[in-house]
Amino acid sequence: MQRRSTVPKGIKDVFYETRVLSGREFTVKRFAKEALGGTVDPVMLGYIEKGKRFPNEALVRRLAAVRDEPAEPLLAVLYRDRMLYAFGRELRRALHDPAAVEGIADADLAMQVSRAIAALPDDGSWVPVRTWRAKIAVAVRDKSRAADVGKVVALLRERNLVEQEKGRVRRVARHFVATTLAERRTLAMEFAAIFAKALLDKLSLPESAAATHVRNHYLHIDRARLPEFYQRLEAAARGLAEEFAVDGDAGTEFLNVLLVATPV
Amino acid sequence: MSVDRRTKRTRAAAAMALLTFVWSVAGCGGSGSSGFDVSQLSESATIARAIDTGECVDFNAKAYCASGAEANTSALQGAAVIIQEPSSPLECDGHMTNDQCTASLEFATVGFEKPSSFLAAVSDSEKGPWTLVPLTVSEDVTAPRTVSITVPASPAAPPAHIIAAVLVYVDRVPDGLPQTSAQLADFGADLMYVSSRLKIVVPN
Repeated sequence: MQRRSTVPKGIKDVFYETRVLSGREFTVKRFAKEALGGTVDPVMLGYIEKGKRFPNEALVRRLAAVRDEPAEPLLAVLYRDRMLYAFGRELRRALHDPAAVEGIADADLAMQVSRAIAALPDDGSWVPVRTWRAKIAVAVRDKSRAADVGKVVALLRERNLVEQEKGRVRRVARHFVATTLAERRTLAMEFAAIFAKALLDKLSLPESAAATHVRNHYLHIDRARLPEFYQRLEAAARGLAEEFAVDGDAGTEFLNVLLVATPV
Repeated sequence: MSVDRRTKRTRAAAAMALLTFVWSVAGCGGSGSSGFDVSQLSESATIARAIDTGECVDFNAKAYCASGAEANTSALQGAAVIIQEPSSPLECDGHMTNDQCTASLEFATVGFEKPSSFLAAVSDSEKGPWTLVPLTVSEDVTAPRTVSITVPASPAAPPAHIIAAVLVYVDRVPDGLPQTSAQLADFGADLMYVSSRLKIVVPN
């Protein structure tokens, strides 16, 4: 299987990294002019790198050419980001939440919480705090938000999900419940990001399709048995997760399994 | 001397490397979950949710209710147990030995249309284990029942934390129940009512 990044990026990160990691010390102005052939205004490119504007498809294709890569995977990232932006905007209306729309960045906190919990062994054994924090930091896409690692650690301690003593930490519970409005919003954005990525992988990226599983099961069920069905579905998913979980390294993927069941 | 120091350093480095190795291989992979609801994969989480929400919560086809919440099971529709919790910590008021004392807690029943039986159990927390405790029932079925809770406590000790549970059986209590059980459900009740998290203090 093709090795892929364990951290899904936003289109803004792709633009930023292409410029900064090219090894040619491009400024935004020079990159816009020399690499992208003057097809974008440097000010607009700055906005794109900060996630304040989306690039158009032609610009993404141009960037793909600069990277000497096929355009489809980068276009899929753009489509996902646009979907999340639209989802986030409507979600805020539904939640009567006046906070500004941040798109993919909104899913970061939930993503870090997931990684922080999964970075601790299921059997409750201790690991060094430093090692644990380093694993959480991997999930922080935007390095300017590195302080979020401290927030995640504090949050998990406050919720009694982890126990810490003498420079080591272990997990005492595995399920994080989003309670505040901000937590519910970020978790909803993470769920939407997972779903959008899965659909795009399946529908438009043949190379990624094999690594993604999307399926709809349907049935008529006695209404009184819905709670039992959900409990057993959850128990089955948890059992599989614990059976297959291994330590994260270069040979592993961080797999997200999103379960949705709803009467329609 | 320098050789000794080097040996000590080498041993220390080896010990550190071993410690690091042990740490790095300790345990297995991790997994987890997140959501908008409490995970109902355990009885303790279910009890915690019932206490925190003040409602009845189902787990493994059993209903766990907070004091005063109306049952929604077919056999006990509309019935409720009201545990009369004091606003201040419970005080030991009964039998007292050097390391144990007894406190009392009353509960009342409303809306029971079928003959029912009751037991009471206590635990330090939602996680159990649960222990059956004496229950005094008056002849008048509408009068409050009293649960006697014996806790290990002394005047010098900090307040003990407990959760009391009233176990409701339609008709009779089955025979052969254990005195102590890891899970409340193991007592086989048709419906379970839990108090909030209570404190018991021993008067000086």
